[in-house]
Amino acid sequence: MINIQRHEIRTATFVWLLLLAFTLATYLIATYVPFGPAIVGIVLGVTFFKGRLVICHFMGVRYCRPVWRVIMMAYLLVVGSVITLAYLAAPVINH
Amino acid sequence: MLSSEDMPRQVKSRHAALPGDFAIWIFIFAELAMFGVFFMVFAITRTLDYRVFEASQRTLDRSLGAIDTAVLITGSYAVVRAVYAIRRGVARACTRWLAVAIGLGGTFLFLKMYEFHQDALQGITLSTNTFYMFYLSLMFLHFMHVLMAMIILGVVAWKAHAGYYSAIDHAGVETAASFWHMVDLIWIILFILVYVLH
Repeated sequence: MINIQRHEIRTATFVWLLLLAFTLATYLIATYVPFGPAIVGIVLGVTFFKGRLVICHFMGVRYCRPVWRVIMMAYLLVVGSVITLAYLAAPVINH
Repeated sequence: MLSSEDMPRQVKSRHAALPGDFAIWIFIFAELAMFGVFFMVFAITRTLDYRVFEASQRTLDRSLGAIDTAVLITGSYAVVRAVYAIRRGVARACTRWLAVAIGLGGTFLFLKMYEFHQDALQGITLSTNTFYMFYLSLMFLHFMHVLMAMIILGVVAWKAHAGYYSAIDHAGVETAASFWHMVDLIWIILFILVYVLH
């Protein structure tokens, strides 16, 4: 029982630190790196991963029926893809 | 390597239902859909009004946005710890962790109010331009959700303190936690969309 608790707490703490590290990384990228298609892709990829961590580990969806995970991941993918396409198209359209 | 005895209890019941009351998940899916449409419309509108969005975005304080994100993520961690505590039947620790999350939610709201105040001082309103119309609307909408999540956590913390929940019966805590994490998830996307991508 104690091992279960330790395992759960350790995982949650690791996920929390990972989320903070990703937030710092995206902040630094936005502040110091000139944006281009590759950077947009990296930032949105990191955001997708952050969203996945919150959904699976914090919300506990990883333990649920696969259909719920698929719905949540599809949400992140659809929203993320539209944002990526719009951001990549903006400089081209306004050139 | 953990033995089967040591694995988290949810692993044993794979394909379990969503945590908490299913009704909150209907609400969560509806809220995610609404914010998702807002995010996509924001991004598409930006392609049509690119220069205005770029110039307006530069006026935002990205450092504050990053601090807001760290505060909400830490609040989520506190909520996770509250759920783990009540699963062990330790109501006192559950209440304490929920209080930490509420405190962090309050910090987030304070920071957002400071940002709104700064915007107001610069004369920025909903009608300043399209970017600010989206920015202020999305921020205010999310602000109200954080406030609602704090109220829900407050009620659950009080009930946990009063002994309403146990290791066996704690769906109320999981329901409140799911709503809080949804608010956190929306902010993670909002932070990238408004403060980071340019």
